Amino acid sequence: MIKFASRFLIACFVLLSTMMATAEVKIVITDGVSSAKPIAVVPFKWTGSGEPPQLVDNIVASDLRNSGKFNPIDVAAMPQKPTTASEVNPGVWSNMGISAVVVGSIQPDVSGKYLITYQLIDTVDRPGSVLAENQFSIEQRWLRYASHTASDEIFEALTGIRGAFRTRIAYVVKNNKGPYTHELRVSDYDGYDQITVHRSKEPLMSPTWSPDGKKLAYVTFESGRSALVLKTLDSGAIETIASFPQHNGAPAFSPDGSKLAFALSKGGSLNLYMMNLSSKKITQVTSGRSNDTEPSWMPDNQTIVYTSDQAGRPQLYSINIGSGASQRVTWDNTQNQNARVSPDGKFIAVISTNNGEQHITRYDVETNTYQRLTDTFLDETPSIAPNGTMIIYSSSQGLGTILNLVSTDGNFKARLPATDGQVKFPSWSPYL
Amino acid sequence: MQFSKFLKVAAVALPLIAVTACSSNSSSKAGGNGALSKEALEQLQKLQQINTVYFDYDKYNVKSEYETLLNAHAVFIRSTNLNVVIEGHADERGTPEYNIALGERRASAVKSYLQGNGVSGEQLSIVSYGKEKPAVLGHNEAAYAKNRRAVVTYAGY
Repeated sequence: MIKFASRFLIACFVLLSTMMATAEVKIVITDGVSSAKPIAVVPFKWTGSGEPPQLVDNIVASDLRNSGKFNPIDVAAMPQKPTTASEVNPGVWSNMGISAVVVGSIQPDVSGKYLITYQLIDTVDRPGSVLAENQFSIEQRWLRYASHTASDEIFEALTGIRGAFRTRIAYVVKNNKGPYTHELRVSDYDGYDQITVHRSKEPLMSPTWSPDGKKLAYVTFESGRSALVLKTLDSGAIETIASFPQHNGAPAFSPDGSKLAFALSKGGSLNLYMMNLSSKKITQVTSGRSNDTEPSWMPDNQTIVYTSDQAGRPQLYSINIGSGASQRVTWDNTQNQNARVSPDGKFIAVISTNNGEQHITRYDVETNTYQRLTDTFLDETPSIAPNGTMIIYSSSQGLGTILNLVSTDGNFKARLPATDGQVKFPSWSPYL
Repeated sequence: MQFSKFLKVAAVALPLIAVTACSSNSSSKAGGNGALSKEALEQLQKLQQINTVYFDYDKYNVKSEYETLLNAHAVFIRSTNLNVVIEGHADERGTPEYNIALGERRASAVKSYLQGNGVSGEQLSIVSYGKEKPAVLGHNEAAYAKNRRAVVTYAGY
């Protein structure tokens, strides 16, 4: 437990010292439950007195539901309430279409720690066999984290896909209360444990995580002009990356973490540049009088997909940073912009505009096909989970903006309504 | 409505500006370190009431109806050493980073217009907020038209 929590702990602690924000965003599922596979997460056995400190089974069930791939059934509908694998009667579960059951327990010990135990049991293919199990001895404040760890293991055992429930999201909250109108915040992927990383009286834009999860690059207008800065989460140190005349924006780390691509308009129009993060040397990537911005890296660390208006309306192009060879990627829709390349490079999440409507669209690189994923209003700034299963983005609702989730197959949709302002610019962390 | 308001203010402000502009030609320029004369400060305050130029959808040219307004600013800026920041803005359609380009085009158009009217480029800089600082909230053309704008601002005032 200590081992896997160490990096997370470092990031968390210093953030906590910054400020704990009160309001949080929570996930409200709007579509996709019917296409998800039913599963049972039986209430965990609590051996202590009074109420358990966290409902671990609720957190695991929420994670599995939020993945869009599973639909945990109501506790009231369960035919039995086993708490260990040996108590599970596979037949009564498989009869009602449940092919996997999660059981477990929470036990306090004399030192004040808790022992979390879980088991995932197959009820169909090899009835009664344990597909995954683990136990963690932890302090109370790590109970959510331990629960997300169990979820990750269960999700991977069932799908073969690495779970991303221990990830976090960064986003900008805008409100009109007090002098600080813009806040950069970070929370768990599910909106819990939100903290404020930075407060500003002027707009903040485009936060993005470094691939090691230790830094956030973002755009700030605090000086009255734009600047691109890099904030180290554990120390709070802020380093200015670019503050040239006109715009400094659209940061994107290469997947290997060695370079940061961004857009500058010091030459008159937006062009792509990149900084070698060890030498701090900046080199120009694109040149010309059209606007090139919103870079996103392919997994090869050599190719950048970006938005360019060189043919009029913004469309996607790609450029090889070694050879400088560029080519147009998209030819369809009125506009395609704000590309985010998936971790495996097989698809690109993009904002496509048709008939005045802009939606999150999945563009498959190999087949050159588009799939519109959303039906929300004025979608923007997609960010893909590190396991490629989910996209978080911002859309307009009423006069404000909220965060939304959509699975990359388009089946599952959820909202993360804010309680205290407009929420924009979500950025999904790497695995932490 | 916005424009008629501007005309009323301009009717008062412009003669004032014309008078002082002539008289200040011979003297050294004001501004820079808060050294604006009382008269110049009053002119500045009037100009700050008429500091916004609106643009058509997908258009980046300064419309002729804003020439009088910008001429007044040009005359005033030429008479001072003030640093002027032209803010560019876009409506909410599109994506935040790309819309920076749209705001820049509008701010640049105003900058070019002022330079064409004798203002030194060294006094002028631009900043684009894209869609991050809407003047009006709303998802209709009336709101969008008020957000596609460039604003002439005077650093320190």
